[in-house]
Amino acid sequence: MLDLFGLLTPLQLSVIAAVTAAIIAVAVDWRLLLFMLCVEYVAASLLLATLLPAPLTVSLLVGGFFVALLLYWTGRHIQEAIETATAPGGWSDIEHEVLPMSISFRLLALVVWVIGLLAMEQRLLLPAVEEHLMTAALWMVAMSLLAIILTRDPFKTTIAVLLFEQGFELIFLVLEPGLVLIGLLGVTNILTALVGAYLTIARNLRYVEAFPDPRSPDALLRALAAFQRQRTLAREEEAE
Amino acid sequence: MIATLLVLGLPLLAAPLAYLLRRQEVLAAGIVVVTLAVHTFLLWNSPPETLEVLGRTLALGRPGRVFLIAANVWVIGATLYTMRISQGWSIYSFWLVIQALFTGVFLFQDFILRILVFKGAWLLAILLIQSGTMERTRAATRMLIVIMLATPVLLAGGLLVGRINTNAADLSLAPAAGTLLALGTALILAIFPFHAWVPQATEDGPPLVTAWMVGLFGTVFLTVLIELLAQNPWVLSFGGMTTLLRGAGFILVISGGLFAFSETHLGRLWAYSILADQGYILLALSTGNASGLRIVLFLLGARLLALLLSGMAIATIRYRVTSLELEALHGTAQRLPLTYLALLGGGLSFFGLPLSVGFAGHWMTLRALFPTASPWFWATLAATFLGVLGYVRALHVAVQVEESTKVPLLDTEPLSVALLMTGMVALSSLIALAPQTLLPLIEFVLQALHIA
Repeated sequence: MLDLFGLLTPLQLSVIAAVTAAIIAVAVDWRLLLFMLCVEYVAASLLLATLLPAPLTVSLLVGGFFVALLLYWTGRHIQEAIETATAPGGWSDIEHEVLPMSISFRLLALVVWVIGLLAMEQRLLLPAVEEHLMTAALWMVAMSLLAIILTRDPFKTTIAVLLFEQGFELIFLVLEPGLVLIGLLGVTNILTALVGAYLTIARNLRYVEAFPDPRSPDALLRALAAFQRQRTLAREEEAE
Repeated sequence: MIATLLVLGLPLLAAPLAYLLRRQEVLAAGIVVVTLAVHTFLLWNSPPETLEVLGRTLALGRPGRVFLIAANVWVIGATLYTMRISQGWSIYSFWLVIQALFTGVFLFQDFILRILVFKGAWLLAILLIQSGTMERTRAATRMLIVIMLATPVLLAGGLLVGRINTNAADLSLAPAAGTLLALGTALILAIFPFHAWVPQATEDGPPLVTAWMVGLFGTVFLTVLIELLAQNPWVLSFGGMTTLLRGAGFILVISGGLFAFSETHLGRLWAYSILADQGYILLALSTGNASGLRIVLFLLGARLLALLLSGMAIATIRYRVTSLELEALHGTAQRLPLTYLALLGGGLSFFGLPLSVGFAGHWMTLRALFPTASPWFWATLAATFLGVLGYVRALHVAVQVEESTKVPLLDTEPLSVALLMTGMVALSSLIALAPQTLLPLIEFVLQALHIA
């Protein structure tokens, strides 16, 4: 399969996987996050293509395609609902909902995380797994954990969970390849995306609920109520 | 052959019908009850034959059969309750699908595949927990993260166990296998500090769904783990797994008791008592011998009964009072006496109070672990006592009528719910008085594990 693309070496693919994972850790925009997840799926499949039969890696890609489709549909739905309800810029305008910390804090956290990861990397190598594969997997797992720590948005959490699973599968499938196993992993990934989509909609239900004409007094009242609810929730979370 | 296919597919086939009829709750619940009753009958009388699918052997062993029958009976009891006090429209079809997935867990012989099917069931269960509340997604998100962290650890542990079994020379991997399995167990069984999703689920999720989640998922996982340990007893002697299980057990018992004592929310009090009970199960498991396993199975049986009983009670209180904060419960015991009786019967069982269904198992655990009274024995007993005090405090508030508010104007329990809870209280009292009635079932499972 790698010959089919023939453009990138395993080392380059590992770098792409690592950089993409780092972007997922700090990015806010749902489209960017989803695009980066797709890149991860492709990079992981190509990395595994050097070690596994083509049908197995293709099945991984197919699973990734369904995951991306499900999350894209959810993201778009929420984006439109938020645009209609409150923020003209949509989801990204309520950045504090996705990532409560500022960009400078997130970048600082990323730098600290990367230093920790580089220090640990050599100790975490497995003899049975090629180094470039292990590096890519470690970056994916580490960055997904950072993303989970930084966010409280279910959509971003789901992307991070899927990234974590992708990183783990990269190592696990090399050690234990098998069609049934890949099938089950693919199904659980799709279920994870389904759960993430449901939680995202549940979290943003106040926007998803049908709104009247945005210029009407009724819409203003509803928007105020939604704002009030949002503030109460934020206070509750802060209190915790 | 037809019976075999029915055992595998019956709940799955009935699930779409239950989903289509979800707004007619009595009909949907009826489908669940009939399907699971037939499923139980088939499991009892015509256990599925061994099958070969895609090079994998599918066979349902005795522990799996006993668990599935117990789970079916549990879900039937819960369904009868939800016909009167709803826990969400979608639960009926989801319960059927997840019962089918539990059957799948036990059909696979490979630990790795079992964990993956288990994960699928867990992910579906998150949707049910979330259905209890909208906008607040904390419990569901925490559950998603827990299963994300636990799966790789358990799969890696299972992989190492498999490697060592095929090549005994790889025994150097044994400590890592033991540690990974212990860590995965800690995550799935919500051991401190991974426990946060349980109290949150009791706040956010429908109470009976939370009881189902904690009870059945915990039991499925423990049954799978016990089968793995029975086939590979060496796991317990490497990687400090025994120490980890015992340490985790103590932490759960002590933290559960302390947190339960300090709680001002009935749901969270209930959650911490469930966790304390889980601690006793881990303590019994850490003994690593046949008598310890007998106690574990006893505790699991008592736990399922106590969860159903207390879950019904908590759901009734939430349904009638709408809040589970203790300050909102003043005087409610006078309107819901049977509910509070069920709550005490189930809740105190988690701490093994005498005359509760959990007493025998808890007492046997303490006797097995502490032949002589040591500081750990007294610490465990003190934490248990504090947990019991937590319930006493809750009952005190519920009985007390504030002069300003007087007895709240609440309806009493619906008749069908009252009858169901009375039956459950009677059953748990019977088992509490004659715990040996569970022994034949426990021996049946132990024989299958070849360690009777």
